[in-house]
Amino acid sequence: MTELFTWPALVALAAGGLYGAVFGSVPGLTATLAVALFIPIAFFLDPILALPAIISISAVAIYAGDVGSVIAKIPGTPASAAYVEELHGLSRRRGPGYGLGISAMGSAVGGIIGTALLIFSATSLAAVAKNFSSFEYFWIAVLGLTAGIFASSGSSLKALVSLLIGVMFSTAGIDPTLGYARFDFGNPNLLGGLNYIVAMIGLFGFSEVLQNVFARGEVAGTMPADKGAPLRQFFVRPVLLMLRNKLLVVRSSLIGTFVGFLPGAGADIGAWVASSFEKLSGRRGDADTEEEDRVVLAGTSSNNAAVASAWIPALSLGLPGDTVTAIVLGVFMMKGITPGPMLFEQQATLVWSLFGAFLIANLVLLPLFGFLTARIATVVVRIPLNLLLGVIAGLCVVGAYAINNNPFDVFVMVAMGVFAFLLRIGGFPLAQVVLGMVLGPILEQNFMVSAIKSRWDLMAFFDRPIAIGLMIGTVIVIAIGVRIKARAARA
Amino acid sequence: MERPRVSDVVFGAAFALAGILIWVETRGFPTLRDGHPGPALFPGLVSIALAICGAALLVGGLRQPRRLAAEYRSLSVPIAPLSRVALVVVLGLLYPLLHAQIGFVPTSAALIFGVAVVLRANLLVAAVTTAASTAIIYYAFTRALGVPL
Repeated sequence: MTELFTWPALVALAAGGLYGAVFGSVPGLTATLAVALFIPIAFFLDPILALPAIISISAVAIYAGDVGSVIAKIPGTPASAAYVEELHGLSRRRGPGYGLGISAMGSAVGGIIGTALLIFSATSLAAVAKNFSSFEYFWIAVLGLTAGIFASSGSSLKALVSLLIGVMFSTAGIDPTLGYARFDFGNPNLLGGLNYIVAMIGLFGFSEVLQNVFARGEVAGTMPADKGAPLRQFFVRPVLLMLRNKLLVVRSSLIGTFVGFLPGAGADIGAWVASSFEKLSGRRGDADTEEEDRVVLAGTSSNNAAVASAWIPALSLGLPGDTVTAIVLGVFMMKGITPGPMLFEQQATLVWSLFGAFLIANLVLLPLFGFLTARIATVVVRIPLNLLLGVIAGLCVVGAYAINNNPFDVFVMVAMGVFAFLLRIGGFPLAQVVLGMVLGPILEQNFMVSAIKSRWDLMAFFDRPIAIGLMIGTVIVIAIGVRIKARAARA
Repeated sequence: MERPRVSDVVFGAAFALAGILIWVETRGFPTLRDGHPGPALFPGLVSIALAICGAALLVGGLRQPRRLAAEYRSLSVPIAPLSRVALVVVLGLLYPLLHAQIGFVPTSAALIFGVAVVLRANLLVAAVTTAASTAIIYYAFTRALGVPL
């Protein structure tokens, strides 16, 4: 690991963190895009510099996705969408520094727990992941969707409708069984389906602008200044919150790690399951003023734990845990490195440098750049709303356009914004639409693969022990959710 | 008990209708070679669920007709706020059309300035904010992050 403590390696880590912080804060620019755009540079760098830089880019960019949630209720990642309402709400009540402090501290601790499990159990956890077939992935998606329905604070029926709309959006484009073009209306831009990042910018960002334009700025008002010294807001109060909720942080990080190491599942589902679990189980009565804080803490610790654990199948099996590790595997190949069980013996120096990079990124870079972005966000939210909304509208349009440099994406973003504006009027939650769009393809693809594999014997979905465990988990979530909703209706 | 809302009836009817229309559309999708459902299965099931949920919202809203009628009578169409929303939507839709003709800077500036004007910002302050934010966005995307606009 000593190779990591050279000036070039430390500069690469710090530069990667700064790049990730800036990239993640801008609506439409994701950790995946940040890493993808870094590849041409990585090509010329030694792996001992390139791979730690990628780690710090992704760790900090995932956290920075929450900056948009705080300023303008625009989540930077689908994982951030799981707790966007809560994060924006608590930032309005207690100041943006505190909101981002919870996000950064939760992310750091989640990332460290995920890294610890990566270090100590990469090969054994990878063996578990190998037992996951399409049946288990189907049930994981069902569990995530079910948790999403009951996680809504309002009507479960409306949450279900939002979820169904999201799943329906995900069916646009080429279908996974026959390659048949569905709902493309003859437009080639729709053959690849609707991009959920573009949809997310419209659903959350542009609709927020429209809602405020409708009410002439009376909806959002101005965000309060941080109550207290910046360091206390960002570090001390969130750390005290974590100390009061130690079990929650550990539980959410473990959920994130578990879901994150499943190839293709990643941080998004982890954050949804962890924050939904807290929403379902966490209410401590009317005097509870920390409910939103705990939901954010659960989501952020889970998603950064998943960032680390997504490397488990990548390093041990050569299977990408998420889109970032898919790019990393490309870098491995570019550098002539073969991932797999032998990697830990043949490239021990590199592997230990990666572990060290994760620890530095989460222990040092995330709090450091997190604090810097929080200070900037604190200034940004003081800008009068009638000026800020124009800039947000500009960022929504530019962010949607920049993803693929495709003007069609701007039309989709605006259409989603108008649709979400209407859904808000009807009292339908928006985060469930994104959840449906993210989990819809996983659900459909794994259902179809499983059904075809079992020759349409649907009992095969209940044959395998892990699948049965996930199904029981889904039933438990439904039972808890129905009970809580019934109790809330009586109150 | 939750108050019946006109919006529940309207949205319920819209989603029920959308579910039925999508289900009809999926009937034209091909099946797998062995006759099992293929591309139609998933959107078909989701559209049925959407239609049922829409119908449930509709029925729930219609259950208290007197309250609903009273709520309906108290409704008024907010023409001015909706006009402002329409204006911002048009500005958003014009962006990709004008971007190709006149480039990023004037197009973005028009959008940012337009929204500020709709929200009755001071014109001079709005102009300065527009110029500064357009320049920051342009340089952040193209120079610092290497994302072409």
